[in-house]
Amino acid sequence: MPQQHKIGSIYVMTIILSACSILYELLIAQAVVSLATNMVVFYSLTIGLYLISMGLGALYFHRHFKGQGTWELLFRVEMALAIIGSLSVFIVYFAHMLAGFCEIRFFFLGGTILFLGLVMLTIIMIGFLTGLEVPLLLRLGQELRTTQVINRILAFDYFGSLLGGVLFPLVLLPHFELIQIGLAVGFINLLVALFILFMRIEKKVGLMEQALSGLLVVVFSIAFLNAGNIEQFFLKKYYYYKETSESFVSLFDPMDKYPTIERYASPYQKIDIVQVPPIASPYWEILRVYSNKYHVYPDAPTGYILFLDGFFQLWSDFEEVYHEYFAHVPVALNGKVPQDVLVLGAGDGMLMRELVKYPGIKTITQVDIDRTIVELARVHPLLRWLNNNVMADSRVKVIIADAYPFLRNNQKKFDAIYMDFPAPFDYNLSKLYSREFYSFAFKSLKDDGYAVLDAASLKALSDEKDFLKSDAQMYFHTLKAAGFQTIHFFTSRLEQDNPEALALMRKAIGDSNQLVVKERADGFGIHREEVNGQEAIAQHLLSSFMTDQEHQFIFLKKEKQASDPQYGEIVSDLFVLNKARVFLSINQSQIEAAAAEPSYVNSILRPTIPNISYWWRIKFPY
Amino acid sequence: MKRILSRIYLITFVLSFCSIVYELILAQTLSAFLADTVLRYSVTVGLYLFSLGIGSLLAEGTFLTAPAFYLIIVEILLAVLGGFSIVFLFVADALRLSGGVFSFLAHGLIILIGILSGFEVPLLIALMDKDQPNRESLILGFNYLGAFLGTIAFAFIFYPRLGLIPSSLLVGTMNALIGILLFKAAGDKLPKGLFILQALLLVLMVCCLLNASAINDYFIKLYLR
Repeated sequence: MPQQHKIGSIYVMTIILSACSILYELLIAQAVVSLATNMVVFYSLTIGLYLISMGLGALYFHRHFKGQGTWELLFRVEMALAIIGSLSVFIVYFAHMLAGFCEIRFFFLGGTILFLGLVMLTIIMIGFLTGLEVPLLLRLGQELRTTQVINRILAFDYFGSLLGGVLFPLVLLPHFELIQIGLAVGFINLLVALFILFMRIEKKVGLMEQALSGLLVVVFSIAFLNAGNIEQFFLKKYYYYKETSESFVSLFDPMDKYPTIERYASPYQKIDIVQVPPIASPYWEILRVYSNKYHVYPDAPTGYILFLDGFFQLWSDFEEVYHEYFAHVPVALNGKVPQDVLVLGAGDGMLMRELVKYPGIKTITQVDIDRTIVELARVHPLLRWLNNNVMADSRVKVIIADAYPFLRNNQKKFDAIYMDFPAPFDYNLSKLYSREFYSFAFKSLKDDGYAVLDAASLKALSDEKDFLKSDAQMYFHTLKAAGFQTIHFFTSRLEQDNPEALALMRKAIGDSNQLVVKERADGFGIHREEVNGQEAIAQHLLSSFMTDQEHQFIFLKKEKQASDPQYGEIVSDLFVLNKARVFLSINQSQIEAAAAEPSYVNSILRPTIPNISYWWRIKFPY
Repeated sequence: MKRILSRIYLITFVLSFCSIVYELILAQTLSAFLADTVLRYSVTVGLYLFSLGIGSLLAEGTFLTAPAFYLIIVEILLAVLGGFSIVFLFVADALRLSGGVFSFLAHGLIILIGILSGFEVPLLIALMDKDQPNRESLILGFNYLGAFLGTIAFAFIFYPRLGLIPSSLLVGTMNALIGILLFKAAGDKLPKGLFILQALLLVLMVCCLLNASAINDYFIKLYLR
């Protein structure tokens, strides 16, 4: 090969390989954040760890090879990257499976440590190998020609990074599964290795390695074409993680008997509709004590859960306990039915199904960023049944927009604003829970209007005691800083002394007289507790089941409301909520403070939500 | 010689730390100002890397003949543009410019900071002894190390605990400090006026840093007005 062509191919390789390198980095980061809670932290951790491993690779090249770059070494590096890189997404998914297995069978934190360890190991290996590439190419280039080669290669390195950095979010991520992207990038590494082989730049490559590269081409093609099935395999492992963790062998079971996970991917989120096994007796019967939905509609859909980005959103059997409280308790607290309502988020339509029950409500303006979920609410049979085809109601007007700039630029005043966003586990969502956003909401509200928001996310990350201590403080002081004078927490609470439900529970317990309760303790380890006696067991089980159904909300008004307001009437045709339960839901301890405490305030310039102390938590569907 | 060498490694480390923190701060601020977070974030990162490349290409030629001098100029500009980047964005926002103009200004800032950061590695390599073997791979190593600690510091300290405005001021101060260190590394060949400018800038940055929370409150009020 002529000198000129060799140097040209080094430049081309630099662009391609640095694009591959940043693609691996973004790919692993994306795979990790899809399974972890705090996105920004895990993104930064992945990128940071990747960069340091690249640095280690560069230093290792300097020390170990004394700067002697050979084409043979480049060939080996590319082969190794092709194998490990294409497996990277598999390793991350598998690490999460093992973490679930460990959490269920051994101890809680063990799974997290295992997950973090395996993921870090993958990042370090790939980062290290890609770190060898640029110094190696620099050395190979310098051997051919000395002038200005270094800066050119560095520049091509940057251009390659731009190429990868733009390709990933704009082209690859919207159109391909992560597994496919991993295989494709690995395949490019393989192509570079094959190029070195076939252009006879390197003659020392052994027969074994040649055969291996040929085999890899076949394996990659097969895996790429079956990426849909592989994705489905891992989706089932994620959503049925309790069933899959029964034994070590069942970890690898393809779970063909389980229903296919319905996935709709949009640029903003992954929408999954999961069919779950029916809940065990007596819980099934107990649900029907609290909700009369299945008495009115015996063939109402049952056993579906909607997830957004892997986070629980609603359960078809008992979503009323969320949406009925969310929609109606504020009306009761306000004492007056609003006329013009603004609904932010809530793309599935369930909240609006409750609101249209009031003839007094004249208009509902819904703002959601994601066209896909709004369209599903309109046409998907399950969602349409559940939201009672509310999207066809003439009072509902849908605007597809990011709620933040929408509310900032909004000039209209509303009687009520409902804020229903996904849990703020990462900083991008935390903007919708910021002092700035709440200030815009304050301005968009009429003087006698009310706002309400779903703070249910709090429960998922902290237990009940913590909720009132720390995270609720963040909400309280942020809302206070935005100007709200009435900040009233309420919970979708059900009575736990329901005699009918207790009788069902006692019947199911039968003769057993002792129950050992294992709970995730805050921090490390497991909290163990023994419950003795049939009555105590029944009360304990019912209480913990009912507590699981609870969600936290915050009711807001511009002015200070009298401590004993006149509760207004709410509509009567509800499945779960009734007057007694309205009083139960608002009867809880409140935070009081005259002024906002700055250190708690969640701002777009300094987020306190999500709580950074919980950065390490990984994601489980429930 | 050895001490100057290790000082250059330290400088490389701090500079790449500063650059990646600017990038992350700008990406985060832009996502707060403009809609469509995912797109803004990736465009910021892409543009930044692109301008790093432009910078390292521009650094060829005459700049490499006086690396210390030009590196100090780069640090002064970075401290001003990066340190006050968020402040500039808030002022632009308060002027209620049209979306296009604001976007142009913000992305111009990203490109400028990127180009200036792109100058750094070639200039640092040129600053080192020509006989030192494999200096570029060691410099690259420290470059990566700085970026690693930058991302960690951003995720755990700068954004959730310090806040964006104090963080940008702090990183600007670090850039200004590195300028002073460069004077010591380069000896007395550099003009005195430049040193005075550099020292004044450092004083200004430290003053702003000490009043960071007042500056922060002022700009939030401006933003919410």
